[in-house]
Amino acid sequence: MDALAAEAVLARARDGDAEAFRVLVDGHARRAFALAYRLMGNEQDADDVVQESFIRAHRRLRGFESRANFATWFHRIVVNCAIDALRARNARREDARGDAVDAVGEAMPSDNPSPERLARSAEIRRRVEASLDMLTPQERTAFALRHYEGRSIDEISQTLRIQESAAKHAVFRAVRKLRTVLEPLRGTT
Amino acid sequence: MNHCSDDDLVLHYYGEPCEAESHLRTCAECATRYQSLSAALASIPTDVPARATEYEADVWRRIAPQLRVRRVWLPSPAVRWTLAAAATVALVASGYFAGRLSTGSHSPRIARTAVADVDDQARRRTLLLNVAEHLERSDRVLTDVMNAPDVDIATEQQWATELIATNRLYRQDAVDANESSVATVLDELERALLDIVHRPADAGADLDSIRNRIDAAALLFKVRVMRTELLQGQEGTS
Repeated sequence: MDALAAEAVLARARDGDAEAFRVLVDGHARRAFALAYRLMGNEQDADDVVQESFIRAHRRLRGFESRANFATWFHRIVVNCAIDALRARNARREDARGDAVDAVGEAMPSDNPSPERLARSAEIRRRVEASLDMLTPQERTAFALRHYEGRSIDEISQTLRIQESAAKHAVFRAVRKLRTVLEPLRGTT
Repeated sequence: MNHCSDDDLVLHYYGEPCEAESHLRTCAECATRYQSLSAALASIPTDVPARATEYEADVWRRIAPQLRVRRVWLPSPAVRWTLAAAATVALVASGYFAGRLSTGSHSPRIARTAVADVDDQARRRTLLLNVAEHLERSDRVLTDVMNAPDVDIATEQQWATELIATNRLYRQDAVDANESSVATVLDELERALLDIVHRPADAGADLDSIRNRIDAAALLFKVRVMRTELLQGQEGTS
């Protein structure tokens, strides 16, 4: 879609045209899912975040300035929805957190690592997910934006509306926590 | 330069500006640490599960009903006043005709009293129904402010501005009608709406304090409970 057509679609969507908004959903749903999946770590939660993001975007579309980039604006909405969802999920898991930490600790590589590459890869994935779940929503989001999305520290600080130093330290803390799980695992492979 | 810190190595790995690069060329120890960090981070899976070809249609199917329900309709002040005026005319006319019809069997004084009672009840019902509708709109604005992903709440401020004028009228009407609990909720609501309207643009901390005040006063909860009570009261009388 060229810029003029995109602008026309946005203008119609802002005026309440459902079909125009559907064009925006068609154009952004897949990318939103990829971002949400990396932030949430599972498909079900990612799907929920995508839906809630479009609903929020629809509600706030009247305030969206046509000069701004819809993709950038919507990216921020997805990130914020994911942070809300992570907070809610963390609150639900708060009681079980101690158990989760123990589970990761117990899952540390033993003297008998699997010889199968595929199994090892699945194991890494499982442990990465478990350790990502132990990060705060801000650490997890900052890390995902930096590691998977390739966003700069400056962009992360703008997206999360925090100081650049806070964004940087959120990434540092996330990497530190992940390394405690990943490095021993690598040492045994 | 001293040895690189772990944080320097992380910055270097992600291509952020740092002083590690030149040091890494000459320090075997730091180069080994960097290699270990790189290998750990590179082992993190980056793939995303594929979505079906009809994914976009699925998303649309799931959100479309909610978009219709959540759409906030706020008529312009001019439209609201026209509707209010029409309702008043209808009430006066019904009172007049009720009085005319009743003159055959009752004295004029009794007829006027009966009409006045009918008018009062009708006015009260109309007021409470309008307040219930007003609370629904206010609920949506407050919910949006509480959940706004951005610091920019210009849209919500515009809605709140429109709601304040109506809120004042209904609050005064509620006081006149001795509906003190309704008047109290409307009073709290008005303060929150004023907070929202007068918030400077792009003041993140200020938005948090507004949210905290709404939260501390349990305003959303009160608005919802009051609306439900008003609607249930209407069902009971109709």
